[in-house]
Amino acid sequence: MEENRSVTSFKIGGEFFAFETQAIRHILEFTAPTRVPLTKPFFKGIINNHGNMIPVVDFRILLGKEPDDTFKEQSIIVVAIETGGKEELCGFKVDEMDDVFEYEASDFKREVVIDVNDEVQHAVAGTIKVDDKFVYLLKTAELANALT
Amino acid sequence: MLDRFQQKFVEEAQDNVAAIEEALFELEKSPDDKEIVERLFRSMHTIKGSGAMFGFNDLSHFTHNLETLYDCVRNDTVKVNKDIISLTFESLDYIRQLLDVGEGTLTDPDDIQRQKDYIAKITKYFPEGQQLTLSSAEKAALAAKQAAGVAAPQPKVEEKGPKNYLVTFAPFESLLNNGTNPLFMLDDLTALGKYKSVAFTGAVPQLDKFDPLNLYVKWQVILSTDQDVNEIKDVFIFVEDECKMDIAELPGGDIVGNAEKLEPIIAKAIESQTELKADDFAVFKEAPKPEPKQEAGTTQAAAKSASPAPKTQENKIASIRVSADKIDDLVNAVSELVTMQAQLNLLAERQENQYLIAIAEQMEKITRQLRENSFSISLIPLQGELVQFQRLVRDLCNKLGKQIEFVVEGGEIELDKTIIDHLKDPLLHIIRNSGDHGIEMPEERIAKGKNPVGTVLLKAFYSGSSVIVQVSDDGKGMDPDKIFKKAVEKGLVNPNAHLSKKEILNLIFASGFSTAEKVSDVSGRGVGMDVVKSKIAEIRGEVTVDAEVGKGTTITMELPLTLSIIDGLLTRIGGEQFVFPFTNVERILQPEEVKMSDSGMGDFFTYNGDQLVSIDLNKIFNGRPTEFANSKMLIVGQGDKRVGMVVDAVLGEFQIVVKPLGRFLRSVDMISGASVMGDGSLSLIIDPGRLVNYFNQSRLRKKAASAAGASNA
Amino acid sequence: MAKTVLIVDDSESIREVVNFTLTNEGYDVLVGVDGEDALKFLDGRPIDIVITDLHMPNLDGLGLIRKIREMDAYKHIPILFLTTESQTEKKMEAKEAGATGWIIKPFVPAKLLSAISRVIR
Repeated sequence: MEENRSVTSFKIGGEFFAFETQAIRHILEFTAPTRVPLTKPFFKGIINNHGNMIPVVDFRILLGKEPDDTFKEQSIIVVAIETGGKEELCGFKVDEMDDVFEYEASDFKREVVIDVNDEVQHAVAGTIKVDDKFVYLLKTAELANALT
Repeated sequence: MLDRFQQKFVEEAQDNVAAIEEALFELEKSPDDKEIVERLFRSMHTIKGSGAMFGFNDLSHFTHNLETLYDCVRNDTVKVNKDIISLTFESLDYIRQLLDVGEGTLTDPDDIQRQKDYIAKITKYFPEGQQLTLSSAEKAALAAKQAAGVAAPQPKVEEKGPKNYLVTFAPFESLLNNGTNPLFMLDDLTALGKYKSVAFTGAVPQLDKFDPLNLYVKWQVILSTDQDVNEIKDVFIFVEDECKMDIAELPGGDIVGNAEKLEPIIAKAIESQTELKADDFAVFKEAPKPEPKQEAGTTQAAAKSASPAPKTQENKIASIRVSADKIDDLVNAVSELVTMQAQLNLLAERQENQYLIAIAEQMEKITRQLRENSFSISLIPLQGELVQFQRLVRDLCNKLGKQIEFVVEGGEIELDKTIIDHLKDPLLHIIRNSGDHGIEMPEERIAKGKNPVGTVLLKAFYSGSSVIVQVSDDGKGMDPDKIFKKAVEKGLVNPNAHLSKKEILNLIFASGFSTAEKVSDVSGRGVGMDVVKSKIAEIRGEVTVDAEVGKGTTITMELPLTLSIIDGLLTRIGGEQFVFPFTNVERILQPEEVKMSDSGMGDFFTYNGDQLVSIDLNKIFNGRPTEFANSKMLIVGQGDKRVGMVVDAVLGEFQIVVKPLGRFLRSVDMISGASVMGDGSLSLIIDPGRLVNYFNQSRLRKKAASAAGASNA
Repeated sequence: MAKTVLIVDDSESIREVVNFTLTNEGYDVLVGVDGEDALKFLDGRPIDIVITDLHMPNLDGLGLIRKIREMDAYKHIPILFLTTESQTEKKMEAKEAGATGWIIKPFVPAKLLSAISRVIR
């Protein structure tokens, strides 16, 4: 399990986050989702991906930051999340994509210093130090709890 | 050629077994109801009769005994009791096994012994003197073998050439009354060989006394045939009680061909109107003139009477079995087609090409029909699955010494076959739990002041685009405290957590909540409920539990109607498109048709004399009220309740392929899914029932909030 | 002209086998699922023969036979009944009701055809 250390990172504000690459199904150019009423604020709506409806979460709002749609390279990362014994797809709108890289175990630390709400905090597995930046690695299963 | 029908027979027999099973439950309740016995008997009779026809000999033989038993019940020589009913249930299981085995005869000595033992159990209940029917069972089995061509005895053919017979056929006057044509019989008779026939018409009355419906003629035939005498008797088999019939053997040799000697004898008989007697033919005795050469006509006739099986042509089968996968493929393809169709329609409209529009419209009709057909293929009523639950409850009662009545409401509800497949095991599980752990022993119930007979109610009904299947019992219910304690023990929940009663009860669905060994003493429930939950989740369903200590437990499963394409009314609310299931929309009102009356508690209006609530969807979804003058009011019905829903615009009727929103948006339950429209845009599908619930709750909350605000002020 | 046969049986498999056999032989076949259902065909149209089971729901074979015998249009048409009972008792009862003859189940197609050819040509 720990062998696979490929992650895909992205930017929110000035911070870097990453999903394990194997959890990522698609990376899409941002298109405005169809809004679904009465959802939590971080849900932007749904998009159609090959006939499947995929909810899109605005990662900024999820983190408790101000919404900002001005980034030119906004993307939607479609991630497979294991929940209730089944795989569900969920899209995350991010400011821009960053990198795909493999990290050394020695660069990974469990400590997390980040100012976000509790649920997201739970979903951060640890911090990867790459060059001079810190990337917060997200655990999809825990993220699911933040979404429901 | 029968092979093709065997499958059909098996299906039919299975249906009959299910029908018997159902009737048995009724019979158990009202053992004196002759109509039920009659139904049982008829189904058994059909299994027996058809079974023999299609080569299920052992099945036929076995069922015959069961039928005989119920024949006795019918005739009041045997009285139904619990043991007989249990035995019948058991027998049905055995019949099912035999159906699985297929046609033919048991060969394994163990199997044969087993059937014998089974039959012995049944015949034990026969009254004295019923042995007769037993032997006719053997006859039936034998006949079945003959029919199957196993040991068809060849008609005996006399080697020594044809024999001569004098056949006298004097029908009663009434013979014509039931559709018999005596001339056909004479044809059949004379087809057996060479003949000379004599008609006696002396009894025909004068015209004034003549009744055209009566038969006044009798016949005698001198027949030379190499067929067995039984073949002659056979000709008259249908009328043996409606005529005087006699067959006398005449001397050998050629009588029929010897006109010289024969004519005078006949002429004399006609003249005197006296029947010929065998003695009259004594003159032929000393004229042995064997005729080795067979007449062409004779062989032909023989061949005809043993008419060959008809040539096989194309088969007409009223129903076929199709693998479930194929149906799924079909339904998926149809869903794709419906989406494409929407694109075609849009394109046709944009091009403003009349031909294209016409074709698109035509195609839309066909698509719709195709869609309805393919969906109806995959829908089956819940009813068909109920008997096994009934059976389960009955077995539980017997095993546990409890008294449980199993009641079903809404068995006619139809569900997609995949959904039913997924539902079966969870239901069995839930019902078993109800019987096992829910319903108390009769003494205990009496002590609690309850009816000693417990009830397990299975209820199915539609709710929006869902089907609700509920199992409730009036047993001991569940204790939230115990469940909470146990969940804490199992580390499923934080001991300090503040959970509502409902949340606690629903912990039983958490995986790891209970193991089979340890459940009964703690919660009384929850064995493998996590499996139930995941099974239901597979079909996008949800399961919840509610219970009241001492009063009972209700497990509710909410299931999608189908994988689903619906007819929908497309509307616009704010900037988004929303679809209402067409079946829920009763009418669309223009704003000027609606007179709002403000009662101070929300908006009401009068429709067909009823006060209806008006729900402004813009207000709910977007927090801004709709500009009423430019809106439409939909009268939306849900069961017998109706409300008005205000939308900005009505865009038209569409076929809507329902796509689920997924687990993360499940909390938005008033939106049951989304659909891709022809232009690629998405529309959201409204579940009117849930939307109304949401509206009511939010109104209550607001009221409570404003009441609180008022008291604070 | 093809002869018209009305088959009445509550067993679908039997109905189909009979239907198949007779259609192949060039008969026009009408099919009723029980006595009650069969009555709808007895509306004056030409029917040459009725073949009916005895044990059926709603209206059984005996009842159907009696009803047919009361109808002017069909008073005299041949009626064969299907029976598994080789006991004479049941046969007599049906004959008294007005049946023309019977076919004992199980039967092979040839037996069915020969029984029919006994009563219609």
